[in-house]
Amino acid sequence: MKLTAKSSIYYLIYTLFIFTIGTILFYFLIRNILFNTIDEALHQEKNQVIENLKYEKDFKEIHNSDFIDIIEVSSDSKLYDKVYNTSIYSYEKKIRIDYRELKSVYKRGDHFYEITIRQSLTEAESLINSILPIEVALFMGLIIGVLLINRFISDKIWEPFYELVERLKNYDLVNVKIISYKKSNVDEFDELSEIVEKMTTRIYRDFNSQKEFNENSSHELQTPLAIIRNKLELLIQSKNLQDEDMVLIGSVFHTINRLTQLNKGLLLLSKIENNQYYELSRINIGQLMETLMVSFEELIAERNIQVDLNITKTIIIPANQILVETLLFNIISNAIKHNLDVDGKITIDTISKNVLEISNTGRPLPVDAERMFERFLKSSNSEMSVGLGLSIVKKICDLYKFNIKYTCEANIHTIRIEF
Amino acid sequence: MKILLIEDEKELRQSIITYLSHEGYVCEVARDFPEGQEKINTYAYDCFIIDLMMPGGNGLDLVKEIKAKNIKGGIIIISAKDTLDDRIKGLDLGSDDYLTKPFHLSELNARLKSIVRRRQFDGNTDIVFNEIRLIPENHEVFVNDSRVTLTGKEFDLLLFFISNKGRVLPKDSIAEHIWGDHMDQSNSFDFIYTHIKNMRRKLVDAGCKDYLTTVYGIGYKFQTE
Repeated sequence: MKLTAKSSIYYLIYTLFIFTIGTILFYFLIRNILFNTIDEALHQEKNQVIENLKYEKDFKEIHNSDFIDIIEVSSDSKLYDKVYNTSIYSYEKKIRIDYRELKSVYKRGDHFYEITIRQSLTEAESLINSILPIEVALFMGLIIGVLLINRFISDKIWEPFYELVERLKNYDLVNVKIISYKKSNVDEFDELSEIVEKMTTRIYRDFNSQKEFNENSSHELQTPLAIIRNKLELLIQSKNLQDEDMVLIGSVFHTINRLTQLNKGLLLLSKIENNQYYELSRINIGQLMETLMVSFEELIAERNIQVDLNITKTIIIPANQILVETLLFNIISNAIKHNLDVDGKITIDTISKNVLEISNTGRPLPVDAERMFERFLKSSNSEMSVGLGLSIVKKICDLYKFNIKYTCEANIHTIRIEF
Repeated sequence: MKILLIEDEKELRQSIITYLSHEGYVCEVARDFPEGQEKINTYAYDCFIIDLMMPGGNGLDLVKEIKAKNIKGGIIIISAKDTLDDRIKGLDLGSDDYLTKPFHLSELNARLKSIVRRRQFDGNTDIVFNEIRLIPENHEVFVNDSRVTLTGKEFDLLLFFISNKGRVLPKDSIAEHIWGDHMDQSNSFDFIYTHIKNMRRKLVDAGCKDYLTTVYGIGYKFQTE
């Protein structure tokens, strides 16, 4: 729920409460005032009637008048005045009509008379009854007004905020780098924007120095690695080495090579991060795949793997040639490496104009499918891999916003890339 | 055969010189840019091995100078930088090859030989070792003048062995030479073994002496005697 909507709900609940109480109070207040006025009028009329009666010599009872009844009552009656509401059925209008009645007992000489004066409440009631619709209409008007104002607030006043949120949503360190300060006419948003700028600047700076460090350290490692490797190459030419020495040197040599591979992988990762492969060309994935498979042919034959290459749709994407080659190379290389020793199979399918699927038979997954793209995650049985292959794949996919998904069902491992 | 190595890293320089000297090359060194520049302009060499990042300047400028002044000699760039840009720039400027550090000495040696061969014997680049004759352009191999059919990889292997004859070659160097350094090595070792076995069998079947010996724990050696 939006902030404006949320705050106006509280506001409206409070208004509804006040309106309800106000309406009830107002209703009784108006009623009281009206009744008082009517009562006063009735009393005045009574006084008038009594005054008039003084001059009547031969007093008769008055009946059948709509508004006044005078009847004689027994002489032991008490004198009183009382006002109350009543309703009388009207034969003319065929409905019951509410009246305010004043009943008063009056003594004239030895006779007691009861005077009843009434006044219709129809007008007063219609006045009172009109209060509720007016209040409801006012409340509706208020709600509509609040909604309109809210819309205005979120359109105009909150606009810089939503804009900032949008920019944060699209934030990435490769393309956006820093979310710059943008002035709005709201102090809070200005402050927020300023903080966001400072924060992203710091993130970008940290990211850059991290990147530089990664690349520099990988670079600086190259020379010592080269020296060790070359010295070992010279060492093994010596005629004085025993077999066991050779085995030791061999494993050192091998380890240095692993370290070199690892370092190259890290260097490649940081180069991708540093956007050093910026040159784009239009790449036909199907063709590239076919060329790649030729270079894998002997290896595949060696492992007795059956390959189904179904390039039926043409996938053409703008990307860097080297990176896409690396991407496909690593995937195929993995598909071969982690395949079964007997009855191995690799299937490559173009599902649509932008979806490629590569699946291979293999052993059950040693780890969760979601974790497959993490760095240095290795399956235990291949000690030679440095565990960077799939994270390079992921990095390349992230760079070009390819959607890559890894699934494993019934020991068929599938990588699906949406370009 | 005279070679100028321009490289600022002492240890690397020494290793390269030691390895290449055993091949019968006369090696001279330059420790930095100005020294390299001076030697380029003073003496004649068959090949230059030039590091790119050096104190005093960029190796690419030396390549430019060699080309601009029409100085004879092949050029191999060795660099820790592996960007495509540098590689293309280097080759565009007229260098014959580009090797990324860290490289195997055997690889440098093989490339150096191929360059020298191409530049020295115009038209005749055959490599002859006892009864074996290789014609690199056509990927053809003859043993005692009868042709042996080798696959591309087998030919590459044989050429690599003969280029580094008499040297112990670790399996890793061989794998990297055949597959390039991006090959996942866990895939390639058994494979190298199969290729070597096949190549060896074909040569022996054609009446060639078996020069290849296994060096326990490390790799192979192409015997010269």
